[in-house]
Amino acid sequence: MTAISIRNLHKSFPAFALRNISFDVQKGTVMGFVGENGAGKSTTIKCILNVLKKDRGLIEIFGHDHVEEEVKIKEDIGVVYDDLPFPEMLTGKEIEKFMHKLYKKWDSPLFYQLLNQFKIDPSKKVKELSRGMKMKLSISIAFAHHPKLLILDEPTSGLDPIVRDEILDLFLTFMQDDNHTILFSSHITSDLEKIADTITFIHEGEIVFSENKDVLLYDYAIWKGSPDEMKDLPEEAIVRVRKGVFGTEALVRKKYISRIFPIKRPTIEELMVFFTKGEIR
Amino acid sequence: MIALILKDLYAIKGQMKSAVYLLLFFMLLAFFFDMGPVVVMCAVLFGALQVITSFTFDEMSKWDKYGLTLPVSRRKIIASKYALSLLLTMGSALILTPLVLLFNLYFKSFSANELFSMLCVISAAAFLMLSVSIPVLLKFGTQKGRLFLFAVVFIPVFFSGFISEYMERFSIYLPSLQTIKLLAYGAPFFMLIPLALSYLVSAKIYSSKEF
Amino acid sequence: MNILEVKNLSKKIGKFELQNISFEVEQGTVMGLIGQNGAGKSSIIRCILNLFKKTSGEITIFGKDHAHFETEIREDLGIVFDELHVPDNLTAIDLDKIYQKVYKRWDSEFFFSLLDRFDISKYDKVKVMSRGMKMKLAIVLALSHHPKLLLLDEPTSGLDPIVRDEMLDLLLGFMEDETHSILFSSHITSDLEKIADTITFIHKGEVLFTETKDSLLYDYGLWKGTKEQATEIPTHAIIGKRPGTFGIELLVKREFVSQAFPLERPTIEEIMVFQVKGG
Repeated sequence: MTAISIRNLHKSFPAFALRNISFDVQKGTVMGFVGENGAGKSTTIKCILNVLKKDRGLIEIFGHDHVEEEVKIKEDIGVVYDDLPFPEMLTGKEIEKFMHKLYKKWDSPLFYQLLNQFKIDPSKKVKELSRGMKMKLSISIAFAHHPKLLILDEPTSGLDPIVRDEILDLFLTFMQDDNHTILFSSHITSDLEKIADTITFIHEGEIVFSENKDVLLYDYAIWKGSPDEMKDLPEEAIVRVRKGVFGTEALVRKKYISRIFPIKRPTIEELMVFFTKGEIR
Repeated sequence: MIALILKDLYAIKGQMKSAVYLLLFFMLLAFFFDMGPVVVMCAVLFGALQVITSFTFDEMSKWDKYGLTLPVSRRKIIASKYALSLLLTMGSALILTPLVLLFNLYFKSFSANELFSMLCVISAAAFLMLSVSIPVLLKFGTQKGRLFLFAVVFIPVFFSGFISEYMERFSIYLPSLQTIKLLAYGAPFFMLIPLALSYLVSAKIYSSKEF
Repeated sequence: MNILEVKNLSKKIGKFELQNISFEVEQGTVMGLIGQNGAGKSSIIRCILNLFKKTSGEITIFGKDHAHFETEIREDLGIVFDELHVPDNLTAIDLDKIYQKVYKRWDSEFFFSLLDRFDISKYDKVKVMSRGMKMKLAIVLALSHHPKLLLLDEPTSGLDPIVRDEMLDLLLGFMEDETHSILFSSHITSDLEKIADTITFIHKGEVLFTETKDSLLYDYGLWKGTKEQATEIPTHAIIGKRPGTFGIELLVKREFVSQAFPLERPTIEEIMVFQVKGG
């Protein structure tokens, strides 16, 4: 069953447009959403949440239209942006008091337990918290109403590896329940390599691929050598080519290439760089 | 909806604290210089201004992009701002009126009727100001919106001088004091109509707004 | 030869304290500075630049005292903070004119060629640029007076992998000259894995270790298994442990562990997490 299903989503702005975005996030999986700054990740996420109004296309969450059933759907969604968008004179305690009235399933003990675990003082104002603390508070708020779907837009940007590790642990625990789903946009692709089941790559407003992570990392490979040596590679194997200071690199499809060529497993980051900067042969 | 009002009240709490000190100061003035009604007027207008402040806070913290992920309809988000408006204007009047009346027991400088009619007029003015400003702030944002509001408030005040002059020239006279008083009592109720219209306009603006 | 030497640096900033910080950056190498937010990385870089006055200790750059020869040293330093600190309404052309007056060896031709290479508009004001553009401009500005040492404080934070890759390329190009060196603080340790020769780990105001990247990545090993199996690993080999839902993970010194145990290569990030959380 799909948690999020998007078909032919279009949204245009004066200088930028999302074109024909389609992908599915299956229930019980984590989708990593990657792409350059300005490629359309946040725009897509905001369209899903109806914070931005789509021009056309179909978006369904838990099988319901995202606009018609908006209020009902949102009971089950937790959202974390790359900042904490609350008036900064509010304290954690005050936020709890009104969020408590917003969600039917709000769980005050869980909220305070998370704050305790993160060592956040609930009587501190938002403006007195460090960036890491703000993000942890934002995540605690998103968790406290027992959502089924988490939508995360760069939640770990600017955080140090230790804090990121703590946060990823929390997401992994959340995913122990088979009914839970995460859509996770991030620039730190090593985080996604740890947690994502599928990767969707958006570039200049269009989807380049939406694929199982393991398929991506095992089907593709990187070959390095001199331009001369590259002539030996079979044409159909080469997906993209990059010429660097130290020689030529090619992104190849493993199945078209004989074992004698020295190749290595790509990272998501390398795949992104090849697909945006590499030349097509 | 109560949740969203609560959020705004928490957010402007800091402002309210300083407002209380300011009002205490005014109360002292009122006591020594016998200006009770002025204090009530100030309080009501101050309450109304807080609604505008809450919009500024929302904008600064980019609240709306989060507010719209909550299980609340856009209509209710707007309704909460109007409820907040009523709460703050009426609330500050309700808290201060008894105090001022208490002072007046000592001074006996105005009748309770006079205070009441003044209260009616000032609440009506506050409602009118909010009816205009909320849709404007939603449409143009708090930066441009504020400039626009200055224009909306000052131009009529500026021209009212001319108008009274013309009225005399064309021998239109103001109605008698008695009628004005009657009108004054009715003013807040009349002003509920623009406020309701304003809500509909705001809800329309907000329903297609993007963040 | 050491390009940068920090010896017993101490500095008190409110409640926080840098204690006895010592490390060296050798000529021709890249040092990665890692640690949590608030561990003291930025404070160290600010002390090196004499923006923070050190309480005690000794800092020399190019063999000269950093405070005494401050202006002289600046000619050979390129500095990038995590933001581009120039007025918003200037264009790259304006900046070129200003920097010509600031640095003796400012190379306008080189500056504009780098702008071209990174698709940074000469005519756009800084305020209309995206974060990626601004950071690329910051690096180009730092390189265009041909510095010998680059000090970079979180220059890649918040940037997407493609822009980060371009920036690393630029830095690798800079390092082709063997007299050049870089001190690079970053949270994105995979970037450091690509470019750094040595890694210094700062934790709570102190240096936890300075090691070459290769010895970090090859001397340490990551072992995963059940708690029972873990008892067979000699305790003196274990540096950190992390109990998980399904078993336990250990960071170990390879030399003390028999080859019978399958070990994975750790990432710098994993080493950090184990050091801080898995003690």
